[in-house]
Amino acid sequence: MKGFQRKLIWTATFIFGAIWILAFFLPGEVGGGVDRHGMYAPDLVGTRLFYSSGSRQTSAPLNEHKQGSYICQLDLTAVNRRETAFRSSPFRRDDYFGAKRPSVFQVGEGWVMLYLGLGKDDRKRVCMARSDDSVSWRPETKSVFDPPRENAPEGVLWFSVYAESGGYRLYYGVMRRARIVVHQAFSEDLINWKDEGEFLELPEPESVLSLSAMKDGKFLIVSKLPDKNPFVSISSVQDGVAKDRVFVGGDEDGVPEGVEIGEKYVNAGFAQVIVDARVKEDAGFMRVLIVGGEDVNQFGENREGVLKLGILEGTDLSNLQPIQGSLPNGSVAELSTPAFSTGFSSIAGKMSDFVPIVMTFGFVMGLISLVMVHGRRIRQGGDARWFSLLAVLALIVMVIIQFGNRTTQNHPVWTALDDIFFMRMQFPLGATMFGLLAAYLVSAAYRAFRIRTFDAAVLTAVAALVVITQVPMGQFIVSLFSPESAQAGAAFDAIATEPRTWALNVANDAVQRAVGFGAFVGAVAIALRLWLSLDKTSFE
Amino acid sequence: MDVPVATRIFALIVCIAILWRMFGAKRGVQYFIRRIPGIDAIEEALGRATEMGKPIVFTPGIDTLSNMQVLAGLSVLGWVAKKCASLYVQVIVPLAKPTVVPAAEEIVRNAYREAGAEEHFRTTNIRFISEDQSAFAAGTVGILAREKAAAGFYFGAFGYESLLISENGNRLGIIQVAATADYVQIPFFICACDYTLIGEELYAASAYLSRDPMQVGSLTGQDMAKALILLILLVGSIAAIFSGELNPVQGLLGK
Repeated sequence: MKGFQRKLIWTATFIFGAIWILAFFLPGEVGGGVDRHGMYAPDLVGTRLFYSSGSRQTSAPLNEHKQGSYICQLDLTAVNRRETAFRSSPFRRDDYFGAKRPSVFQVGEGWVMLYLGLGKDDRKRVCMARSDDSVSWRPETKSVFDPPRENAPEGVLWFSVYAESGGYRLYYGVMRRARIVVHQAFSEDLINWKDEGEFLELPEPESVLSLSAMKDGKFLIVSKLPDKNPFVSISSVQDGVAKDRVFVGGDEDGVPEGVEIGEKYVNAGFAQVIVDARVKEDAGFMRVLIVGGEDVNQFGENREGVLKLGILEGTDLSNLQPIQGSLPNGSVAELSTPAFSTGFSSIAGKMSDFVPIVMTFGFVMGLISLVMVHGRRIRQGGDARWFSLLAVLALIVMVIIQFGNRTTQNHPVWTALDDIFFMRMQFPLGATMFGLLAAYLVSAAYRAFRIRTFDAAVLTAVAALVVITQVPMGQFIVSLFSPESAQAGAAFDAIATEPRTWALNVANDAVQRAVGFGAFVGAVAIALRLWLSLDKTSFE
Repeated sequence: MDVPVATRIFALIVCIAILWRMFGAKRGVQYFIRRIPGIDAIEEALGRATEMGKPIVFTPGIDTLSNMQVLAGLSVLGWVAKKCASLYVQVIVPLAKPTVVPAAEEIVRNAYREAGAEEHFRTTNIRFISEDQSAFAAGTVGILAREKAAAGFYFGAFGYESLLISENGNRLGIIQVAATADYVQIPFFICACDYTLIGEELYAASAYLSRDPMQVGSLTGQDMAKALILLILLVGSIAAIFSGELNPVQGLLGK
């Protein structure tokens, strides 16, 4: 390679690599206000407003942060002074990835906040923080409520807590058959919770996004049908079923049959789409906390669609007004100033656009290589020429079929040909090759498990244990020796499962991680050598 | 790019350790590398191919150049091709990604040129087979059988075709040396190949073979990084055992 070409490649490699490295090491944003990426899931105690925000843009418009959320706080008498109450922590397992949805109570001399922790295992649990002055918060190490996994496979999706005689009641959303239903739990002290099972299930496929209890025994429910915007309704709940539902806000188009259309009381200018609403009542005075934002579908996907919140107040639903000091659009405050973007991430992302270009040229190179290799073999003759001829013919036929299929926009003839050659020939042939693995596994295992050394004996013993207990063979084998086959087999399986689990999850996992660590460090080394053009042996 | 701060700091430490040793080696510091039998076997296999007058097959696997295993494999290919060129042994390189074709071709051509045997280099020995794993396995096995290869080298990123290729190679009586960092495929290679380099040994192979000071330096830098990982694991394990907490850092801090 000529000197100039070499320097050009070195320089380009260094610049491209440097941008990716800077994007990796430097933060994507610098500065900015605490709630620049949205305000949602609020709670209001007196004039103290607690809410959630996040450290980055959400992945989809009008959504809460799945990770990186934290709790913010402000006083309604000074809305511009907003601060972080606390953030998630890598030192706390149960809110490792985020903290959101605060619910604050004054307990004795102090304050208690329940919040939703996004755990290290991606499970959501109800966690607790304490404070002496409702300003400085100390999150507890472990969660206070984690519902049974059989009822709540993903944990608590949202929750609301209310004081009642003798304790506190917690309503929480869980996923069931691809929609959200409401369960409940009770506690006397906010710490020890007893799960009481299902509370409300709306007719399929409607999901409950939030539920808040009102003084008259009814509930304010935000719910949503698939592919529709959410709406707000008032309802009583009897035997797990919503009765006398009346629409009071949100998107009227999303209301299912059986819900009476009432006045749109829960409404605010900033919230064309309402995703959450929570009612707080005190001495005949009602406040409704609304979360929502622009209907991004009307403006196209380029709108960020961040969540904002507003507070309506009045003596009842019919005379709600934005609280004093609200902005003209009804929100409590504008989101705080955006951060300064370092830009490396976006530049690195744009650089990825080069990949399809290079790939396209790469395909041409592959095609040339294929035709050259097989063309030469066809010219040379011999038995191999027929295989090569078949390969080249298959290539030409598939190119013609795909070209015809795309240009005629799935004409039945081309589609049928595609179906014959691709789905009925290429797919089964591929599956046949994959199926051969079964036979090769047996022959490879036979060689591996020949007991010639102590190591091989241990390997064989462990492999036999894993194989026998991994499939329902234990009961069958034991049944050959024991007349009480079912019981004896089940007992055998129960005993054998423990060492199998240990072998797979402890011994095997440890080795895999060790290999992974070494490979990671090796990959970093080779990447550094290539980036700095220090590998003079092969990549000159 | 949302990377945890701890990951950034750790990656930075690893990079510094590797660079420090690399530039140390450049200044002339001599580092020791332990013997790796699998890599020694490469020369043995090449000697056998020379005696038999048959080609060898070398494949970097099924992924693109963005995979570090493929790059490590190509790095070894450079050395193997150079050795083959000096021994007048043909190297056949089956490839699963068309984007790897020009890189592999250039590496092998350079190797032959450096060995002074460019006239023996054949472009048609760098063969794009198919992006489909099954088709790639079938094509590679076909080459092993039809070309009567004396040795097979599988250095790079592999999926389930690892067993399809190496088991057939075993039946054909070919000397096979494999290296991959994919721990799911390692057992297959161990069963079917004569020698297998496990995990990081794939990245060490190029340094071991070439003895290039920069590569040797980076290898010892890797060892430093691994020592750091080991230390963290040790401290974490002790903390977890004695604190009774699942979070060892918290246990250490006594919170």
